[in-house]
Amino acid sequence: MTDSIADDFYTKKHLRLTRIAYIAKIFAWIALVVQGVWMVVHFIQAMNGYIPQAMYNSFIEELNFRTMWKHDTAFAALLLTESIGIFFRGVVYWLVLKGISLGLYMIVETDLNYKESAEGESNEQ
Amino acid sequence: MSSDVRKGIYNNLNQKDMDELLAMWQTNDRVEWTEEAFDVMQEILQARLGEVPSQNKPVLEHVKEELFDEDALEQIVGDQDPPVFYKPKEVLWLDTWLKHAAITAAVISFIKVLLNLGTTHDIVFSYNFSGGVAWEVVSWLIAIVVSVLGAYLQIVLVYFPLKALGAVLKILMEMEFNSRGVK
Repeated sequence: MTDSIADDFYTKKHLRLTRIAYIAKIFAWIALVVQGVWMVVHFIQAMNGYIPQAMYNSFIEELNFRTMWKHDTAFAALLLTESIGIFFRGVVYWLVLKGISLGLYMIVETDLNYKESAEGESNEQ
Repeated sequence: MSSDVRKGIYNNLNQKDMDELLAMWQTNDRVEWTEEAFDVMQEILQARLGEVPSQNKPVLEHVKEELFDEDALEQIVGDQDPPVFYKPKEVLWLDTWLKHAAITAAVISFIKVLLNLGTTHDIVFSYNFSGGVAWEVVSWLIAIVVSVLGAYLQIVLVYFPLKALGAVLKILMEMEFNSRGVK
């Protein structure tokens, strides 16, 4: 496709599709950041929720992930997997939204290619 | 080979038109067709044409065809007239990461289910505390079955859509490439 884009060539529908593609690209990053923040919040919440258990096991003064792993490996492993899972969900959202954005751009490009060929053909005649 | 079986094969192949039968004979696919079928084809062709045409080298195994030809994809990426709205390299990069993400999602789902197995068992066991050892065993079995089904469902729901998205993107890229310079 050539870079010269006339108004009747590049229609409102193309503009709408490219806008949606652009928004999807922006939302991809928003989703990734939000899930990253949510992962940290979830981790802190779970650590705070573990305080009574730590008090019961008498290691409240030194409660951190390492001591939690030492005293309650199953819970620590579950917390770690859940936290990674939350961030990973963000990665999946990011990939899917990026894919949608790219897909829309490719549809616009394909349509404009056909349009350009059709116009070239009619000019030759 | 019994005459009934041979007769059945003969009747079946004799119904095919000349071009189809000739293509089958010349392709010489020994995986798809048996030795007896080729004997019968030879007999039919001899009767119809008066002579039997030569065959290609026998096909002894089917090579699995890839959905996407790597050479064609490289051609798209290296094309002199690149697209304006997207970068083909980005599509291939995204496809690779979608594949990685699909596998990682499956692994994470499996680990989560494994770590929750004890909790699932406790929930099942709580329905009949006085069940004794037999109920303990049964509740573990139920917990394992439920967990495996849950993991399978989670994996299917994430793995296949991600793989499909990667394939759709590559198809769209091929379609866009084919639309360049179409007359």
